[in-house]
Amino acid sequence: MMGQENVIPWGNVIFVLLVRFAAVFVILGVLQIGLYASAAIVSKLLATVKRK
Amino acid sequence: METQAVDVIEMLRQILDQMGILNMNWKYPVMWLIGCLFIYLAIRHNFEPLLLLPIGFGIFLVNFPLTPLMGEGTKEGHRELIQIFYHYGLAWEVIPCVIFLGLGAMTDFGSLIANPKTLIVGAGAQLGVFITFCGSILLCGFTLKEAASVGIIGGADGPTTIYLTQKLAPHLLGMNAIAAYSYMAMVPLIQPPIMRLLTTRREKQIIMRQMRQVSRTEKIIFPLLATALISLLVPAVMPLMGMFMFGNLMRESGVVQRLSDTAENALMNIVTIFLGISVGATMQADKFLSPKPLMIFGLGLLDFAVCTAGGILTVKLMNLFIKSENRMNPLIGSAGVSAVPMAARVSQVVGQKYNPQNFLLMHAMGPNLAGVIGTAAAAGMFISMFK
Repeated sequence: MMGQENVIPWGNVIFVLLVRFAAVFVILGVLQIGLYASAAIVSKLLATVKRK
Repeated sequence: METQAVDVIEMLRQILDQMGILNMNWKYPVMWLIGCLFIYLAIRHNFEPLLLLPIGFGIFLVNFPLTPLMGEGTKEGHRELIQIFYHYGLAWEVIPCVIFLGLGAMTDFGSLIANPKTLIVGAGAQLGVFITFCGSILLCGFTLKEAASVGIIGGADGPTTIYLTQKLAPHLLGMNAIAAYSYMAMVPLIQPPIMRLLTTRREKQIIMRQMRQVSRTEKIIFPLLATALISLLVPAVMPLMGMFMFGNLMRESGVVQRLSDTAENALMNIVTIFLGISVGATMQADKFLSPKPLMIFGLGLLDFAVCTAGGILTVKLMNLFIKSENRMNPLIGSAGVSAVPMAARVSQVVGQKYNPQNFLLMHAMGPNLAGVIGTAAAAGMFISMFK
């Protein structure tokens, strides 16, 4: 079952996984910031349109 | 006279050789039972019937000797029937992407747009995916690629599981898909004990602030924004996410009602038929009756439980940094696994048990949709790791 990977460098694997897991937070965090920004822009635009 | 007798015997022998009954072994009836169990669960208990029924029949159908359904065929370039569905639908990774198109057309992202911080819950709920990756290697001796494909089961997202497994460990496709869909069907059984265990009575009773109204403009911008950001950050999952966002744009634009309707109904139903029967057909006796599937089912359960816990703990952690009037009910954290909308419904049901005035469904839809994006992001991480 192990195939060719007989010796697994666990230190590296865990470090890579931690970084990848953190990257998932970063991706969704960036999307979150994008949502807040787009909500702010849209509400300002709508307010401007209404004032006009 | 004697030659004629020999010819008849030879002919009879050939006829008998071409009958399935003489090629039977004990493995086939075992697979029939497994297929019938899926059909029973779908019909009797209504467990994900749209998938379990075709999967169950697929298992039953291909587990008869000599049936020309899943082979490469005798003529060059001429595959057998279900092999054609499998090859062009799953091996070419078309069906999971088309399913995401339909899901996008069905999804209202309003609750996520109204409360963007729930996106982080969807990331926290991927904890089990990474823990199971390690567990699969340590406990069961899976290869790195196999471990990644088993780990993604905890995200409880069938199409993403199929997409990743097909890319990294296609020989585990049937088992992983069935484990993912089985646990999705069992969300109401698996999640509540974990939710009760990890939250206090007071936390369960938190009433969340009513969400703001989301404008149509925001809903139209969302798929464009998400497409751009996800493309820039995890391009590996854009076949899935691109289709998801395209389906959603068709829905929210309101100008292509016919296309949106086709994507979420007719097209979705058509691909579901081919998906179900092809996945079931990959479970042939020789491949399935080994210790590996049992390990995958065990690891999948652990994975799903840790992902549920990850979502709940993320909400609890976030509450430490949020003003008290904006606090979230940790019960919505369990919806951070995908399983849309079943996981959100479970949050609602458990929340109402502790406070009948509490309506968590729409609040839980935010983490639920974030879970879909989070699982795809985790899959993208694995794909880029092994590219």
